[in-house]
Amino acid sequence: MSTLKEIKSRIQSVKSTQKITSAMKMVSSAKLRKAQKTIENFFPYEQRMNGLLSNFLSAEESNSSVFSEVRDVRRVAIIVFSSNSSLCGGYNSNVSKLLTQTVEKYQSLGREHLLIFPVGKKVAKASRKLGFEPESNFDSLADKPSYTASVELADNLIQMFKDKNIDKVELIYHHFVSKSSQVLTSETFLPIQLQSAEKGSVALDYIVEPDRETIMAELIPKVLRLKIYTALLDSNASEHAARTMAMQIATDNATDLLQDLSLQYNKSRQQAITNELLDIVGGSFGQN
Amino acid sequence: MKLDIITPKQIYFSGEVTSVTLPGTSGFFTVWENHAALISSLVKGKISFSVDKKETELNIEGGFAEISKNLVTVCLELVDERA
Repeated sequence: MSTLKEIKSRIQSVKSTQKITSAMKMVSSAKLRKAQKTIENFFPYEQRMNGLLSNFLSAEESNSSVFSEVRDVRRVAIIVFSSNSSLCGGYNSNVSKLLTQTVEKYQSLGREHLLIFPVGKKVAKASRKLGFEPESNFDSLADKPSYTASVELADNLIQMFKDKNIDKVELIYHHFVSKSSQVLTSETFLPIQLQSAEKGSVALDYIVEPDRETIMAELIPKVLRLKIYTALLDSNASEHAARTMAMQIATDNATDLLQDLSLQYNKSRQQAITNELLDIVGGSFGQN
Repeated sequence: MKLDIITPKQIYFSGEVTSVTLPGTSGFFTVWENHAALISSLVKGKISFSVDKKETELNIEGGFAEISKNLVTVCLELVDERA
């Protein structure tokens, strides 16, 4: 049995760890709230733009665009979203796992035909481990999701797709459902699937200025940009949610541990007192 | 007539207006009450709208406008706050 002093120091160390984890929990839940707020603010824009596109497509007979063209897949780009820091449960490792699977799926194309765009330090590290040099550094994007920076990334990919440098772009990110549930999603970003509004919805007879082609050519890149930004916001919120949960669990574990330890501490203290008493009683008996 | 100006960051403006002037790709145009349904892309320029004869101006970098049933929706990527 460990001595009183040892138990006491363990209690101290668990207590300080608990303080740290509960502070981290507070911080990430505050960040989560902020991230959720950003999503809320972004939602109307996303909805209107998608509404605009589907409205537009329902009026159009042939829905074709440079961006919906399905080509033979020779070169693939993968955009993966993770975080810069760890301590958020399985968040980053799940992303890395799915990345590995996706890479395996495209193994037949040859390694040099796979491009990886990692957002976040953790997945950048994972892709290096897989033997892929990240296309560029997007670490700051994972920290502070800004619209302008994500537009840059999106435009880059759109241009590459247009120039036929890449034939397919996949997105891997966490979709934020709730505080306790984040779903890891893998989506095809390009070629875009153009879906028109459901039949039955009133298709308004719009006057279109200047003309359909121009609008389509402008609208689709905008919708694509917004998709990247949505994925970024989603994965950012998921990261904070995952961290909040992980820290909550750690704090709870520390509480349990503290309970056990203090029970043990009290027991051994009691034992020590009993032993001392026995010694004294025994001693006094001996004198008689 | 209701006007919604929406950006990725926030709903920039939402409310009743009497008229809106937009920098369309094929030229500036003004929308009044009961305008026909229209979709137009916007170019870099100035949006101005008047609420109770008070005019507000806004510099934009381009975007989209959708007009239907007395609802004008303007989707912008960037809004210049200094305007």
